This record gives sequence, structure tokens and C-alpha cells, in this order.
Amino acid sequence: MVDMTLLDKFKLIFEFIEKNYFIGLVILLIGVILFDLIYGNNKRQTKILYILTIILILIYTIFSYYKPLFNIIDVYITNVFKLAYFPSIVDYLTFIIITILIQFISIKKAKPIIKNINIWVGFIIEALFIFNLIALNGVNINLSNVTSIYENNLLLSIFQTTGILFIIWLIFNIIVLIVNKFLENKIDMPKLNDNY
Amino acid sequence: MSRNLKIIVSFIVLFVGILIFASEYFKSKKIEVYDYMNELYYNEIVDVEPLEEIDNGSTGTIINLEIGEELVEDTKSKEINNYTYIGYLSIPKINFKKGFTEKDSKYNTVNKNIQILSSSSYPDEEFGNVIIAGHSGNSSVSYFKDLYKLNLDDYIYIDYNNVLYTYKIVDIYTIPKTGKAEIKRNKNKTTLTLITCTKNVKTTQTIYISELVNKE
Repeated sequence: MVDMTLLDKFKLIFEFIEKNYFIGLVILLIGVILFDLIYGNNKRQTKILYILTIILILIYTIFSYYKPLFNIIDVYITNVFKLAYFPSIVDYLTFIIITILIQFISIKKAKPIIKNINIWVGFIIEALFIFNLIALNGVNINLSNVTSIYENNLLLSIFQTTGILFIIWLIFNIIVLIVNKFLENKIDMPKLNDNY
Repeated sequence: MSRNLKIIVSFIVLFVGILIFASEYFKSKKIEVYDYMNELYYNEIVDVEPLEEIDNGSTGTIINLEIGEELVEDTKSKEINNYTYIGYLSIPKINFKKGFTEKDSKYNTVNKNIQILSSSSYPDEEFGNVIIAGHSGNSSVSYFKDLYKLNLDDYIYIDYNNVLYTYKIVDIYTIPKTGKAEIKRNKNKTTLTLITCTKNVKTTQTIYISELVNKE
């Protein structure tokens, strides 16, 4: 692998765009459309036309480059599974940090049911972390070596349970976020007395 | 039903649908991840740790064959959950390489991996017969799907206990799928037998007999 300067990297990217100038122009077109959509003062018909153009370009891109696209998705899912079943120590600590963050955000912003779920699932993950510390205390394991961790059945159980629980919980929270965007947010108005 | 409830139910149905639709894919991903870790682990331990002593198993002429689409492994009676590979089977001609586990491992089943049959020997047994079965077809566990491309005199390798065993195919024949298989082999030679369903034929299985030609 070559250690390139930032300038060299930009140079290579521009050379690539030069060779594929048509795709470069299409991306430029999308940029211009987005700019006009966000900052411009357009009519409704123009907006619809713009959005349709972007959708058509996206569909064309997916059909033209579906192989690398599917490949990327496949590799992504494999890595999510790797993260769930065999997290490294860095992944594991990141799980704990994100868990604490989700709990804090939930306490302030989430609806009661979601808040309860997040607090209790977070608690289980944190409890497992403490069990992990107890399990690690006294055993001679090289934590930087993933296979060394998974040789120990107890550590394997704790890491895998945490990993699987965390990933499922994260997916649950992402779905909740998406669903919330679709839900009607009705504000309860106080009942007014007839005298008012 | 209120609009909000409809949206929530729709999302739940969509999510469950995706899970059901992609369940096979997710299972194959799990196996892929375990394969990856096993390979890492195997490459690390193979040079330093001697493997456990293995009982000498007898190699009968007729073996009970438990492969096929309807195979259901009784895992309840086996609490062993050992996914660790003890060796690798590789066939360069069809670009195949796959690890295999101990016989009593939960992973030693054609529904998850290639399977060493219970009546099989291990590769280090002199005049033994290593019998490995696997699915053919198109599923995520069809590890022997390209076996039909093999011919006589093709080479098969087993990497076991830090020794590379080289086998040469000496016989290929089909048998009816009855649950039992007759292994026709020279008992004065150390052999490897591969068994899978015959390509595009539902009623027969193909057996590949190969003999040990080298170990190093």
C-alpha cells in the first residue's frame, strides 16, 4: 500500500472523474438540482420534475452498478454479523459507550415505552460488561487478539450475548426512529371551559 | 384502527416479512462468520497445539448414510457446541476449501457444514477411511455442489494435525438413495470417501473414492 499525500489522492480522483466524465456530469447535475431545490424559489411542477429526475438517475445507477452495490451490501451485512457474533474489544467498548448515550438520550426524549425498553436493555448490557470485567480478572488473555478471547467459553458467551443484544436493540431503535417520522404528532390541547 | 396504529402494524409486518424472506441468507452469513473465525483460530493453533487422541473407529463396508434434504440432526442429545475446525478439506480443481469439525460437534452436520460420518476414520489412521458428506444443489450449505466436475486421477487434500494428506480419486460411482451406502474400497490402502447427491438426479448419490498418495 502506498502512503499518498492528500494532493495525490485528489489528483487520482479527478483523473478518474475525467475518464468517466459522463458520470461526473450526471453527479454535477444532481448537485445543481439539489442546490436549486434547497435554496431556489421554485414552482411545485419544477420541484416534482427535479425529484423525478433524481429518482430516474438513481434507478439508472442501481441498474448499471447493481453488482458492486450488492457486493457492498453483502460485505456490510457480513461485517454486522461479525460485529454481533465476534466483536473485538474495541467494538465491545464502543457498544458500551453507545449504550450509555442511548440511555441518556432516551431518558430525555423517548416515549415512555421506548424509554423503559432502552433503560432496561441498556442495564442488561452494562451488567454483562461488569460480569465481563469479573471474568477477565484473573485469566491470562491477550485482549488485542480476537481468537484468544473466543477460546474462553465464558468470555465467548458474554461477548456474543452483548453483541447480538446490542445489534438487535440498535436495529429496534433505528426502526422506532423511522416509524416516529411517519406518525402523527398530535398535541393534547387542554379542554377549555364553556365560560371561556 | 387509527392511522398511527396502521403505520406501526405495517412496519412490524414489513420487518417480520424481511426476516422470513432473508432467513436463509442470514443463516448463511452466520456460518460465514463462524468459518472466518474458525479459519483464524485454526491457523493460529495448528502449529502449537497437538490435537487430542482419537479413538480408532472401525470402517465398515456398509455405512449408515444420513444425508439428504430430510436430514434432521438430533442436537438435543448433544450438548457439545464446538464449532472449531480440526482440519481442512480442499480440492483445487473446483476451488473448494472447507474446514471440518470433530464428529461430536454440533457443527458436524450437512445442514451447516461438510460432515464427517460417525463410521469414518480420521485422516491419521493407517488403512482407515475418512468419509465426508455434503449437500449439492443450490442452497447456502451446498458445499459439494461442484463435486460432479471431478474425474478419476484428480487430487483432493486434507490438512489435518499440521500434516497435508494428498489423495487421488480412483473410483466414482452412484448408488440409490436408501439411507445406506456401500463403500467399495481397497482396505489395504488409506482412503478418503466423499458422498453427495448426484447432480440433477433426486434418487441417487455419487461416491468418490480416493486413495492416499502422499503425506507431508
